[in-house]
Amino acid sequence: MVYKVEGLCFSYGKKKILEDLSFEIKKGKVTTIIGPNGSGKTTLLRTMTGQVDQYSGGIHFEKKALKEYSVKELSQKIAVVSQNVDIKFPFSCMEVVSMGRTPFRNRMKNLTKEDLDIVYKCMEITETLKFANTLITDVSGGERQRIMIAKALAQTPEVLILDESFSNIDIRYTIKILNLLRSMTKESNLTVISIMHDLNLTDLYSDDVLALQDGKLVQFGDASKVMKPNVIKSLFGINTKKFSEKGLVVLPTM
Amino acid sequence: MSIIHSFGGKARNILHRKDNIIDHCLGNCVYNPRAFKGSFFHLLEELLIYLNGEIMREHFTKELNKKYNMAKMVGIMLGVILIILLFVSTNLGRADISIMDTIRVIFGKIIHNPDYYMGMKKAYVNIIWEIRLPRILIAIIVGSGLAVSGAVFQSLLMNPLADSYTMGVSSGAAFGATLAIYINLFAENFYAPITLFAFIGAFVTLLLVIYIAKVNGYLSSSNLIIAGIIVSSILSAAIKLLKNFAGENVSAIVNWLMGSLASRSWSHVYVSFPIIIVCVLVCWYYSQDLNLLCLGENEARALGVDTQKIRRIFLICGSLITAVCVAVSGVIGFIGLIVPHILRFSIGSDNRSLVPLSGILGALLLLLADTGARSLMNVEIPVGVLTTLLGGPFFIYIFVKKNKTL
Repeated sequence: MVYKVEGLCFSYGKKKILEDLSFEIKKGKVTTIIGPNGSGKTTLLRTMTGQVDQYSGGIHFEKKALKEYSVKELSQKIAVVSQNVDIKFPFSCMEVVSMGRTPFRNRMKNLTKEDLDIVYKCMEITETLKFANTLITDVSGGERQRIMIAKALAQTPEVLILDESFSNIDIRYTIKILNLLRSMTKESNLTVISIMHDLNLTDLYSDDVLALQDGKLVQFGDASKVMKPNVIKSLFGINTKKFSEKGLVVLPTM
Repeated sequence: MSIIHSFGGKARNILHRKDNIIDHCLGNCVYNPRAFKGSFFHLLEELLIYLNGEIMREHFTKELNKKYNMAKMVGIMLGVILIILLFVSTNLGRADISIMDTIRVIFGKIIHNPDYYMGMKKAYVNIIWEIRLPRILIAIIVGSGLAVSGAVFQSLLMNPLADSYTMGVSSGAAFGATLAIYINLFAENFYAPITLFAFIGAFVTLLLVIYIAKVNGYLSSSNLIIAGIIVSSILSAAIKLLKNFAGENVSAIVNWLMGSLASRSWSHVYVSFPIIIVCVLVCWYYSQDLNLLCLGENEARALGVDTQKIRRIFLICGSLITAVCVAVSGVIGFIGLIVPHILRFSIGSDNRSLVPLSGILGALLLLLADTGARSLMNVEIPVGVLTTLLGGPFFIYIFVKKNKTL
């Protein structure tokens, strides 16, 4: 068990964003958060990464409360790929990925051979090596997201948090990266927590699914239990069809 | 990567296969169900792939180091040019003093041994040591200060157009100085020190801007820019009001606002050097965190940067530098904007190189501009006017050449 969340509430001004959420996230599993726009998915992730700390209720990460960790300690365990990263300055993609090594480095020190090997490996497995010397300001949105995923992997995290990180990536690379992450959960016990809008992929690649609506937990549990046509209908008001045990198909009717 | 292409079609084929093998190794059967057969040819292929991977890895490592080494080289080169220019510009001027005499005076003064410049005219010694050298040193320190604070503010506010003006700090200093000049014009038995007033003006403005921009204890970069621009406009109007009140004595204020390094003394050097050098070193020390801040607040936090603390450190250092610069030299435009951009185009955006190199290049450019300003024409041109007159069109040139992207 990596996360234990108990009675989590968060409000922005008077508006309640998250209401009384309680759940546990298991180690080495892929947990996906689904829900309509504005249901509090991103806010939930931000409380879990320690970016928002004015919440009530408890979030336990590994052995102690999340708030007891320093920013540095968290960065050595949790990697985050944010929703929209807009970089205005011409860093090369290689430099961006190598920034993922900063939690483990001293200031002013150059990258060690080991750091470089990790950076190289992460760019290799995300197939971004060909952009190594391209400027991050010159690559497309999807390519930039892949670079950001490579950067997060270079952090060698125990927990990888993805906030709609596939929104601009084409289906081929989305599947490749999802396969990669799946294998990493098996081999190195990586925990993946992600927000996804593609319900088919959510069904195919998640162990657990957490459904949010208006800041409340609607359903949480094994993907096969949550990803059912009736749950999806109540969440999004759309029709879906289950083909086999794994595999959900969305029908474009309201 | 060029290496792949140099291998020709066959290697590309292998590399293509490599994807499949990786897929397979990762248990990727959904996407590519093709099975991997352990024949001899496959083993050979794997060996080739391994060797090819090693070459690429080597190339990759070199590429990352190359940038860093290039930055070092550029830094050393610019440093040497700066030192040469220092002596050359000390030698330039109305009074005709030979370069050897100049060097003798400087060394003699530094090691407190008057023997070096015994035979020279006292006036010449004074021209070099009391008039030219302080002015040159001020040009160097102000140039580097403006450039470093520009680089810092741009990365900090994630805005390529930001500099100390965007934050309103320059306007604050200008207002403080204007107020001091105004008081000195009309108060009978009170002297308001311009440098101190400029400094207080800059600092109060900074605090005000931070106070306005703060939401729930957090500082966002767009809020800082908005607050900076608003406060800056108000202060500009206030300066105009003071100019208006000054009546026929307005020229004292106007001259100061144009930005000039004329008649700066050693006392200015003693005030500005320690503060600016310390602040620049602090900025350099934290420059890795500045890189991460370029990715945005959330990314930086996720990479272990205490963003609120780091942002505050940079804001204070950047503003302190600006305050001192404006206080000793008036408003000198464009150095803070143009220097970091020239460097980003040529050596990249890594702030670990960008911050120190901005310092050197800024010093070099302002010294060059000031030397030009005092020796090109019979009448001295205010250096602030010259930097903007030359820097502006140059900036437009790069901007257009870079297809209008910064």
